[in-house]
Amino acid sequence: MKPQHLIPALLLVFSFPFVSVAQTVSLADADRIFNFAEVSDPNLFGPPVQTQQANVGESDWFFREYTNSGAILAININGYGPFYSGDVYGAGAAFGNQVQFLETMPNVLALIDSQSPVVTLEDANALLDFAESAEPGLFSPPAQTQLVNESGNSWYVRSYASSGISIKINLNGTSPFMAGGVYVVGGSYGEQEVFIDSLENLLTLVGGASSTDTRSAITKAKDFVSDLRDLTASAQIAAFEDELGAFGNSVTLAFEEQINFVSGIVTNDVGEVMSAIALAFDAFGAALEALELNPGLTSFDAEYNFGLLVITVMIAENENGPILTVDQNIDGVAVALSANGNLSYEETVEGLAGESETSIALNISGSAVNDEFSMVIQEGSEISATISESYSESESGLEASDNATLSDVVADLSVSLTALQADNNPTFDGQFGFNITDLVVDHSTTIEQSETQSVQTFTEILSVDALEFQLAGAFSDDTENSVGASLTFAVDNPEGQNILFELTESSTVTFNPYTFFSFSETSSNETADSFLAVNVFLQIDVSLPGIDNTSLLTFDANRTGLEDGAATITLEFDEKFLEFDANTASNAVTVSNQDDAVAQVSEHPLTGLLEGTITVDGLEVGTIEELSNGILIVRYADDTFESFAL
Amino acid sequence: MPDAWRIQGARGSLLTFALVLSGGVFAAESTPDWQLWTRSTSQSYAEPVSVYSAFHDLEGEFTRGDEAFTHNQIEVGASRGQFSLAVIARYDFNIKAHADTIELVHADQNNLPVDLDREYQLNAAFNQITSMGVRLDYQYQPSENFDLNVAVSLLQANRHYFGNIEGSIANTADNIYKGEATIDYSYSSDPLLNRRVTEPNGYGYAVDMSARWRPSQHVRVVLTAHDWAHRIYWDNAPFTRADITSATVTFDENGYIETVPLLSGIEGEHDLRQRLPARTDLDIRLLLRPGLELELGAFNVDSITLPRLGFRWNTDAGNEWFLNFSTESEAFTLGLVRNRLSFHLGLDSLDYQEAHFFAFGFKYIHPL
Repeated sequence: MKPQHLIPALLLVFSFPFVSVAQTVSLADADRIFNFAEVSDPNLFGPPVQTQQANVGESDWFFREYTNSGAILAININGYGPFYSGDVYGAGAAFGNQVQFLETMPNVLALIDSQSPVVTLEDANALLDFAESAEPGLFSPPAQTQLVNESGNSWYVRSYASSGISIKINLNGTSPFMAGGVYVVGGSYGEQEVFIDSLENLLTLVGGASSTDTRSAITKAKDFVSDLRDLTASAQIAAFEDELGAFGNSVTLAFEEQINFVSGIVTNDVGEVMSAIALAFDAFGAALEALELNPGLTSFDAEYNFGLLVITVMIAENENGPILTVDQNIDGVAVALSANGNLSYEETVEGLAGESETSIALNISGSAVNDEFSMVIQEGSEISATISESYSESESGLEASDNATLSDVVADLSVSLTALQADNNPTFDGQFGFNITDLVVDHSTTIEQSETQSVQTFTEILSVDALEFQLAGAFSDDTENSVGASLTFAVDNPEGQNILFELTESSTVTFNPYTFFSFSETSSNETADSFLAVNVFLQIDVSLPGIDNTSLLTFDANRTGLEDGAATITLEFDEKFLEFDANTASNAVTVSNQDDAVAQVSEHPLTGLLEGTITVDGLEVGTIEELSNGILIVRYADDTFESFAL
Repeated sequence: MPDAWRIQGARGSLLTFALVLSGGVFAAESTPDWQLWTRSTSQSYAEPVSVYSAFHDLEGEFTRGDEAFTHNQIEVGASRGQFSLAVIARYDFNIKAHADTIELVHADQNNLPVDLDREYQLNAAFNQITSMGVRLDYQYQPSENFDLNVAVSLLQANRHYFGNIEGSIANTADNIYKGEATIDYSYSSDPLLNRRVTEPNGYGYAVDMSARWRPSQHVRVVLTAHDWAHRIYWDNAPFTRADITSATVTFDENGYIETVPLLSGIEGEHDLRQRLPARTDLDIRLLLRPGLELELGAFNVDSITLPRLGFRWNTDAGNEWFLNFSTESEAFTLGLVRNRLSFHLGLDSLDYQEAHFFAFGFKYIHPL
């Protein structure tokens, strides 16, 4: 056998200049050199053996003899010639029958140091995870990797109660250990570290059973599940504040509370306040119409509910036009609103038919308050609209129809909304606006009369081209909590289609004997392929305890069919994100993150229990299964598992 | 060779000692002609709950106790001379648990309240095997005063459940538990985490020993050791090792949350050697007068010992009746041996749902 069997690294070791200086030779240094040789060329220096010591040729030696090749690698301990202390020699196999000087020990050690591999935690975990899955009898229960410093050596270590064995991976190779070397100690291996092989070699071996890609994907999947669990814990933090002691008490606003906080304001019963404001706006319009006909009018009474409600609009003038003011109680709501702007109104009448077009542009401000809710419209708020109306009636009075089209309604209001009955008076300050394009309402009424009965039919057809509602600003409360948020609600007609919603009411009265019968029905021309698109978009700055203070939650829901919808919730935090996608059509929820880790979960059609998979970059690395007791188990491709639940 | 020498010499090795102690209680009678026979035996004992409850989700009353077992066997065989060959089917289950553990599970199964702030020890070992095979008995009679019986069963096992749980748990508030535990178990089908596995195959053996010794005309000693040696070797038996902890949420020094799962571990397959504990029974009969014997005996498995006291009557019609009382289990066992038929039934309560001890035996021999 010739020396070319040595791998290049070992040739480099042995090609250093000949320098031989008597020196102290320790077993630890000798072991480092022997271990390095075994790792570098396992064919020549294999299998790994223990170092032996012998006195040969009037000096002492450390040596290892390798049965695979017959080679002997030896280091002289105390020779003064012809073999010298601290020199490395080879014999047998590729070295021939004579003992050959190879290199001095310091040079070899220097080379070993210079070639010390960088040991990453990821590689260490990959090997240790594999060991746990391959030999659970020895390496269980699964342990966490610890960084341990011992006498100048740093190690990644996992210890196992099942066998008393610890696996140690050396990081820096302080003598006698080799950087990147994998050692075992404890249990049946005794108290002295036993060298196994280099991490690099072992990872290559492990690669056959579990590729680097798979290991990396599993690690990402576990991180993904860990993030999910962290966020779940953070979101639930308020529930166990007491258990968390001081930290829990310092949590000012839990995630769940924040969501309730925002939704509490948005969904609070604002109906009465909004109705009162709408009536006031309507009274403004009526007053402006009256002002068109009667210039100089200083007040106008608009009647509603057959005269039971009268809204008085006070009228004044400034350089921008008339100033309209309502300051009264409307259906239990204290309304103090003023509007300043213009109205143009044109009407043509022919007999019992007529058409009109109204354009209105107002700057409005004021407030509307009842016991539960307060809405303040700040100065500078604007609202404009163009309304076209037409009507006709037959001479007999038995047929009538009217049409109203809001062709361009734009509102841009700076508002302050406060839920007065909620804890700590949560308040929204920000912009409130809406845009309506071509909202059309058609009404028609027909009456068919005979001697025996009267049949009255009323039809209302509603359509809208586009509608959008926006709310953007900051939510806050009396305890100085503050959350930035925006909400958009949008409706769109499908392109090239006109979706109609029709309400038909019919009543029949017979005279002799007297009977009364009525029915109503609603319908639309929506189909599975053509339906109104609806989008709800909510974005909230959230504070997640223990996660990050600048997290952003986005909720984006869309109507995807007549009865189906899809929603996406995205949570951005700590330079990561988690995206939750739910689709009622597939009855599945998908969660993904920045590493292309994707968990897809759906209900089993028979058991109703959740089941699914976890993939990373399209590679399936785990399954998800809900047990009958409700625990969600995630099983990974490396045979480990964990519950998702806390 | 004098009998005493035989016994004295037999003390030289454990095997010979066991052979001497063994008794052919369950062995077929030595006969020069062919016999067909069938036999079924069942013995169950549960300290903390009734046997019925043990098989029905632990419903019913609970008494603090820590062990339970059931051993059931059906055989059909043929005998001739000193040999007997049978087909055998077995179901065996031993469980040894801290009383707290069974109390907690019992409370959970019966929706009973759990003591607040009490630390319950979770400590249990369970050992279950279902197996079938063939059994060869050899009866050896070195002298007319005693005989030995050795039975070797070659078994194929198709189901098993084997492992343990250790830890503790406390109910600190209503339905809020704190504690930690580890569980390590092998199985044919996963009863806890619903893991879908390929059922493994197990092969093994069991050695039973029995000896009958009549030191005098008035004394008979019968000793049996079931599963004196027992092994089942499983190839690629599924296993699960899991850690359970309630300490799932902590915060680091920077206030960042750190969570660990409630349940985590590893699943895999390994080669497993499973063993059932030996069951020994000592029976000493003293002849009080012709036809009437006093019976003193004790049954033992693991740390359970059930001593008994009873009588045996031989009637003129050739029937042998026996009745004994176990002081530990407080069970009465009544039996009859009649020519080719034997039967016994043991209970500690006439209400079968309340019985903590149940024993049943039946044997019928059909000469050819």
